[in-house]
Amino acid sequence: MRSKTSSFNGSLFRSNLSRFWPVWAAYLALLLLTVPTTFTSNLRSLLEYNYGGESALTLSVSWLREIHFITLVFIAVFSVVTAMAVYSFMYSSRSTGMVASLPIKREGVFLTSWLSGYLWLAGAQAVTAFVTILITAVLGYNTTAYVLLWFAIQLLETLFFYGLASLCAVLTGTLFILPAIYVIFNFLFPVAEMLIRAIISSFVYGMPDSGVELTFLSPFIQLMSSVNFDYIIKASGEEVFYFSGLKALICYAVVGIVMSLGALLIYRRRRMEAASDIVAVNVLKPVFRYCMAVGFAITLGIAINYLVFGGISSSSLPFTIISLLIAGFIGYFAAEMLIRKSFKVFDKWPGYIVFAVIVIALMLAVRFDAFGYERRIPEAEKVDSVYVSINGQSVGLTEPEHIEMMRSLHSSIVEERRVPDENEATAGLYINYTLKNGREVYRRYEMSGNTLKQVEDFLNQKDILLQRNSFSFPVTPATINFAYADIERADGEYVSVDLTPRQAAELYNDCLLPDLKDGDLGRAELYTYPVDISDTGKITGSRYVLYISADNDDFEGKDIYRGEKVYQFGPEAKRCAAFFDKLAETAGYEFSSYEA
Amino acid sequence: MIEVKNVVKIFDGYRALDEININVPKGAIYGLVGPNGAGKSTLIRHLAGIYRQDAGEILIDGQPVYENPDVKGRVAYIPDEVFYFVQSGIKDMMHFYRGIYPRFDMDRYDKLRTVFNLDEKRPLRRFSRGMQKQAAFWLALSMRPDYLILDEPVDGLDPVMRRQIWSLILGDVEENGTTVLVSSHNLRELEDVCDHVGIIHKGRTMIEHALADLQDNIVKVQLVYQDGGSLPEGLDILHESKSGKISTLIIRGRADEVTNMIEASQPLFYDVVPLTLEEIFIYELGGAEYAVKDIFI
Repeated sequence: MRSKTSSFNGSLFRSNLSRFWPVWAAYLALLLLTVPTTFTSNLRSLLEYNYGGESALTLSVSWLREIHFITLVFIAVFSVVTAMAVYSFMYSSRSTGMVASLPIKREGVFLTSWLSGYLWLAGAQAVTAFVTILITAVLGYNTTAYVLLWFAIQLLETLFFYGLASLCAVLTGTLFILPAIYVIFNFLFPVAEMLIRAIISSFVYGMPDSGVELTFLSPFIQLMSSVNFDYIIKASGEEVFYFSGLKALICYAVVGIVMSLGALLIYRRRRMEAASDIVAVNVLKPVFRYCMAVGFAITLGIAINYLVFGGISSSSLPFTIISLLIAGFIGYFAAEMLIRKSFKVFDKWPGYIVFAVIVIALMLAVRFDAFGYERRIPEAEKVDSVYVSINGQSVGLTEPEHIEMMRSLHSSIVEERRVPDENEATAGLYINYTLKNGREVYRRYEMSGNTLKQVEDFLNQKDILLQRNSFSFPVTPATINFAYADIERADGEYVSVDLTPRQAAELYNDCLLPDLKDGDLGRAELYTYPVDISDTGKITGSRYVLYISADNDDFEGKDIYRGEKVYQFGPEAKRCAAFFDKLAETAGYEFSSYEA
Repeated sequence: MIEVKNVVKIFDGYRALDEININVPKGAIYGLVGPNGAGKSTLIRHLAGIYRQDAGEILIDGQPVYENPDVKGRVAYIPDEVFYFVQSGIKDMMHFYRGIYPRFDMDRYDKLRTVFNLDEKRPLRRFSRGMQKQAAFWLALSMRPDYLILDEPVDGLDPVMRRQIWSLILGDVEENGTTVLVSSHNLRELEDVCDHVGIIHKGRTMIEHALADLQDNIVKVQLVYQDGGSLPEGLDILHESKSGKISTLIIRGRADEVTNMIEASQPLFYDVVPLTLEEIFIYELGGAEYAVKDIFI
């Protein structure tokens, strides 16, 4: 007689649903308490402030922006909680034995468990989407398209996070290790990169000690930053909705499916006697040992260095290596203790020696630039653009002659390799080359003295100065969102003046651009700090601070669609100053007293 | 028929099963015995399709067990420590197994209700160990298995329930030809129910016979000789002890052959009796360096 079983088992599926319903009920409750209510609370806020004429689009965009983050957190959390529930049978010998003795193939057990988890998560999302559409419809807004977009995003994100959780589930035989490695996998690469940078940037000239290039390996951070929603209202009055991040979502969903399939393959080969082992897959035990050694080296190693040797500096290589080796020793043998569940682990010393030799070799290679990192300046023909930033002044360069000038300046910085004295005024210069193949080369230098002057001169060249300070798209009354100026009066008080779009466009095109071309405003002063009114409400160093926000009317999804510029200038910007004088005299402005 | 052929299982370098071989004839009640750590439970987990052997073959009716739902659907397995889903009662587990085991028999389940008399809705985790075992038998027998694999099955059951359960199992064997493999340290009980016995030690099979053959092939002899009398040559003596003038011998050999040889040596008195399974177990393992030691502390 043939068994009833196949790759899917209805009895196991129903059992999972009935046994773990509180997990999904909690998820559904949180979604229902958050998703539709965010829309209604946004609407209520608008009504309270007597704003009118909000469209379904503008409300939906505001709603999507708010709920995407919180529902991403929910997915990340409930994916692993669900995995802990549906795969819980793997973590004790009794439950493992019971399930493995059933007349169901292993792929049947795994796929049924996987499906029961995924469908419940997706089901909760579907119910929430339906309820949200109903509630917003009752309020008079047709949000179906936007809610369905949210639902689709949830499905894709769930594929990834649940896939990752499923993979983590089959790698370990201990339930509490599952969420631990899930969290580690989510943040491992950016955190490791950050810590490794913190260690080696002291020994590598030009290496930034911050900034993360491996964000894409941290799915939570990457999805949070790459999925965005916005809209512009074109001159014709047409509202256009923009959504970015589809590519990232699809990529992560595909990775999630691949991880789920990987988990299936591992589960098929998994030794059932591995229940309660920290590492359930034999071939991964050395990987676990070395990962623990590296993990301890770059975390505990930094702590030991600071506590015992006073911190990492360019002259502390031996102490840094000693710290890494001590912490690595602890991590390596702690891992072995966890694997064996025994303290008798020191017969594994040859593996630690290999680790120590690699650490010493790598640190020496870094110190003596064996990989050519310090000398590497991308060839001009391979560079697509360069982004330069220093002391709040930044510019993106795309013209070949500008790129070449920047490369030349970069060469002289590398050749001089000047380390500022403690008492010198310094500024951090960031150079980010985007290559034609899409890769990026990113450097940071602490600048002072003559080299800093060279950078300042470069940024104040007329064409670069103009580029730094102008919008990359035409500024017209139709494209301006808002503009206002903070003006210092003769008595030292500040007043804030709102400009109409027409006034702002006139000011920008007829006064500001000509003054910029004359070099009367927008100069980079690298020895002083930029204007900051956020803390004190006082403006220093200039009489006028002008804010302009404008949308790119011809935006097609590739260029930036919105720009915001802040200008500070004094009476030397003659056309701009005259504009405000005339405005004050003839337009009958009532200057309100500026309060921070 | 269950066939285990040269099966090897290694746990972190330790050979838990070391080219073990057993054969369980169809319709037999096979007692699997051995000292602690001999590999009985490991072998049983292989038979239940839980573990995958590192080498060798495990066949039921000529089919491999591992990852074979058709075979596993005809096998009911009751481990030493039974697992149930945390919140589940017997009824929940019945629904679960009914959807998985193709021959789950609801009529039988209903009839067995009167035998076990357990609260079907009460969570099984609230049951005593013995009641959990009863529930396991209730569910397993309702599956109408061709093969019943039991690891220390009656541990925790009261004597009445033990007899009741064995009666049900023997009934199944008689009526349906169910094959039973049972591991237990209660050799007295096994002796009552088993018709085949396998003794394993250090992951290997030491002896495997029909129980009757085994008992026919080893005897206990008590005898007294006159002064100067001695045992005949050619006896395969497994164990010898003496109390006063009475010698007690464990001799491998058929009772009639041994009797003839003893009689020929003209002892003053002799008595040949069959060994219990427990005695066979003790004396066979004594030959394998696993004997009761006379230790004075």
